[in-house]
Amino acid sequence: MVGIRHGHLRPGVVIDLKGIPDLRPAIEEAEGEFTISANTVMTDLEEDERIARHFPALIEAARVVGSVQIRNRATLVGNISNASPAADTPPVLVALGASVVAWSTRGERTLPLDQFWLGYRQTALQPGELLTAVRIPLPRRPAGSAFLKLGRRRALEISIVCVGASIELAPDGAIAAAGLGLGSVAAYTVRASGAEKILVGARPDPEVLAAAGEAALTAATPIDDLRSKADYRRAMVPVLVSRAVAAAVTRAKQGDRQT
Amino acid sequence: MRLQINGRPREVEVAGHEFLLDVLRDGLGLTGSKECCVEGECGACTVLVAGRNVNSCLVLAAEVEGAEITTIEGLGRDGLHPLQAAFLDHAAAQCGFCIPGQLMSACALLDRNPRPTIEQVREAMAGNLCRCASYEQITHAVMDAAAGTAGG
Repeated sequence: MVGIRHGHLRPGVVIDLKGIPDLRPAIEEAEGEFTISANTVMTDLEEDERIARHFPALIEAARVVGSVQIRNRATLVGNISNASPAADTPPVLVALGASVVAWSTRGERTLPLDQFWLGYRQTALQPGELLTAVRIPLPRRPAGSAFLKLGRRRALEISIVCVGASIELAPDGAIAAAGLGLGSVAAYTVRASGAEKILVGARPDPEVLAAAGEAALTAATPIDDLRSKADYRRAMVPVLVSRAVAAAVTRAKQGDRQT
Repeated sequence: MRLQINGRPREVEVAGHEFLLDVLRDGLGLTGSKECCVEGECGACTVLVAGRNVNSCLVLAAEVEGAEITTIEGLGRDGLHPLQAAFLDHAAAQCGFCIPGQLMSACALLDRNPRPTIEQVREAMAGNLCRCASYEQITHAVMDAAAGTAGG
């Protein structure tokens, strides 16, 4: 919309997806996963108690997208499709193992979110395809998630670095599953697979979190831009990753005690 | 097409690329909503669509056909709205340019959350910039309106 308003984008046709009944705002839980429809706006997510309970990081990320005015119009699926490397919700969705549903008259396909972006502002969508929903699997073990964003101010800020972390704990307290998404440090939102590998099977001790933070750097290829230097971004990735994992672990333990 | 504005149906001729703000200001003469940053930072163009505050400079008029739209002109038509009274009490308006947008965001907040904390007010109003920096006065005016102590 900003692009159209400024005249940078001059589309021949604009289709208002809000007029399509099948895509109406909906957050549904079925068969071990949540499905969030294309027209679900950030405010809908913020006000959903199930999302707050299962995926607190997603609420944390949704709450810092623009202003209330923006969040009343901006959809989760739109935040994904826009393919901005600095978007807030994608690192969390990658961490949570989300997938997206792409629909066209040829049929429907589901692809893992971390395979959706192909390059800077490039997506795997084919001509004639549109995203109709995002799916997030429910964790099967005690789980916690967290989102951390580094910026110069708290509101209406585009991240210098942002991190989504999701952790599942085994009964013995070791990390059974880990998801980590990084924003603003590559051409698109990336998964920190190296860090995830270090975490899985380990106990969440400070040395392990620090090692995971360092390992996350292998996924980061930051650039200098008006918000930050690449060096500063590289310096901050380990810090934010280890803090986000620690916060997710704390939540996983708290959730475990409550149930 | 038909727009429902401040409780009244209005017939307007609208091109597909026209934004709600321009239709309000140029088509309907409702100039209370202001054009300023035109990219969703400042909030001067804020109106309510189905009770939720939005930046009317970033909403195509065609998107809101049939939805209930409230602009600053629709606020306090039977005397001052409590928020308007509170803004006066606190002298929250200096140059006044941002105030219609500030009032619409405050209105949307109090409709959803009648007794917000001061932190919630600050958070909810973060999308409305004031170049005169009347933030303290504005925040306290909203708190007073919520407490029902304005206009006394």
